[in-house]
Amino acid sequence: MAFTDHCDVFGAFHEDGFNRIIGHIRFQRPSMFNYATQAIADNPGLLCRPIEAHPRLNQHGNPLVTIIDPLPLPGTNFALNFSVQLVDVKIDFHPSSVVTLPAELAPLGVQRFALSLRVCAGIGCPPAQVVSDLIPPPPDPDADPNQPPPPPPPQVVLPPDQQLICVCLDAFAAGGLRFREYFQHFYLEPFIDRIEISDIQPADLESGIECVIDATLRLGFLPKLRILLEKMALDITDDVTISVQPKPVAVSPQVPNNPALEQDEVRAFIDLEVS
Amino acid sequence: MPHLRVAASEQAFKKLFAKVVEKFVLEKSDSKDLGPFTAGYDIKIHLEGGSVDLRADNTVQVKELDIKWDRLNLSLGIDIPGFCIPGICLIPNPLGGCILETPEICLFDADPDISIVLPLGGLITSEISITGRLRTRYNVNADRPPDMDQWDAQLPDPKLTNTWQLFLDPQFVDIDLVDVADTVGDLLDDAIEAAVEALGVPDVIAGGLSAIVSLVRDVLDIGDDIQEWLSDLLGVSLGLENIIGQALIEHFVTDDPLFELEDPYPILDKAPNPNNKAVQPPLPDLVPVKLPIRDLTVSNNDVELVLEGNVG
Repeated sequence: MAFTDHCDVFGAFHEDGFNRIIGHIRFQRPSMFNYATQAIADNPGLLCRPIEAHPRLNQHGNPLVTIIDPLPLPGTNFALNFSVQLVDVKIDFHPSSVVTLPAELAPLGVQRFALSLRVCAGIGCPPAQVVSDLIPPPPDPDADPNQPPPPPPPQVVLPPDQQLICVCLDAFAAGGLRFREYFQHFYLEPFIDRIEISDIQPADLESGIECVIDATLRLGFLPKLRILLEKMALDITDDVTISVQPKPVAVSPQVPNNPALEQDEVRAFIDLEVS
Repeated sequence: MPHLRVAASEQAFKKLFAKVVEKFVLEKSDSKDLGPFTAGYDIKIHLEGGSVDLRADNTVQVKELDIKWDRLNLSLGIDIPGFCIPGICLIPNPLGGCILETPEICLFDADPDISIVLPLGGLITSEISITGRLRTRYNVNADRPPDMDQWDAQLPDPKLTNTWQLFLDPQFVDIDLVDVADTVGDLLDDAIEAAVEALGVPDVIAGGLSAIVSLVRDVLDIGDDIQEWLSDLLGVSLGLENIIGQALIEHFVTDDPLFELEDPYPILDKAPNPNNKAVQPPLPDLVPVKLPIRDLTVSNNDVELVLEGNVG
């Protein structure tokens, strides 16, 4: 049986290659994996995990981290520095062989991938003396009650102590890949069925953290990993160019899954429109 | 097991080939000074027929691809060495001199003296068949400075990136670019005679028309085989084989690759800097994410072509 019995072009990517791709994305676009407040970004040595990045990124003005807002302390005008890092990301296409899923997700379903990652969060707890020094005084009891209240003070981000308080959690996800059309263009995009983190107590804390990680992956991380099925132009002469538009083959009894996640590969079946 | 495998069906090749045949048009004109005469051409060609076949022995065959000459006008300009016939004294003057003298006649003082345009569009047929083996080659861009990184290399036009290239290494090439019909000989003879007649050479010229026709053929260096002479003129002297080749054959049999894959290959486009702030000028975009491609190989059987490679 030929690879292209039911399509013009067949593409297959082995999970080993895919994990190398993830490594290259982390190396060349570390800001997709590392989030921190400005003070930590300015002093990346504070991060829970050091960032390995391409040495030339700096010359191209590319950041190592995406700057996020500080964590406000409720009822105050103060905020804390913090960071979130996604590290040790691995993917495993069915059947499972690279990632050992927790019981809640095992066994990995057919046509699905397993994703494992470690999420490291760091909080910049300020030195106790700094907090003591910043405790606000009570309101002046002798102040004129008819005076308008003073404007709210600007937010003050408390400086972190010498290092962040770090915690790392192992997270696992089961998901799949699909073709989806946006703006008349087809993209290969990942999606998540369910996420689990290593057991922590109380259970609702675990659920809450899972919710945060799940939403972060779905809304922020995975959409950036879409791959466009790009139109190609083949120049035949200076004046003659042939345009090749790839389109995924519709699912049918002959092609029951497209893309397919099987035998440790993602497989795509594509037809070409030539014009 | 390779990290990456891409297979393209023979049907996909046939689609691409049919579109190349459908869309290919080449128009060009030029002239050359070939010493005793000048020659020029004005051509328009398109492609018809032909087939592409992936074969079980790991070769690819392009067969019987016809080049159709919608227009092939060959122009010849012949500059015959000029000479003058001095005046002849009809009534000499006994006291000296001449009472009645014919005027001096100078011939062939134009440049060119004779211009011939041969419309050969329907009289030339061309066909090409090629069998070859597909190969990959890694091309290190020699123009790229050693300290230039993969992102700076994509900025110039053309890019200075390295590439994986796919070639058709020819095993058998049958190119019959200028096959001249028998009737071209008569056409050329008639055109020369008509052009010479148009000169209006006076009868006093010894030998008359036939001598000048013979002179023109000598200048053009036409031997006994007009078809061979014309093939040589069009294909070699005017370089039509090279011209057609640059436009067509290079895509099959020369150093130009059929397909190039940039290495490293961009998989994520450049993107806006995530740290842009509304009130500040935009920061530099994030550079594209690029994958090094290693060990790229190509093979084919009678139903599909398969490219395999690894991520570095």
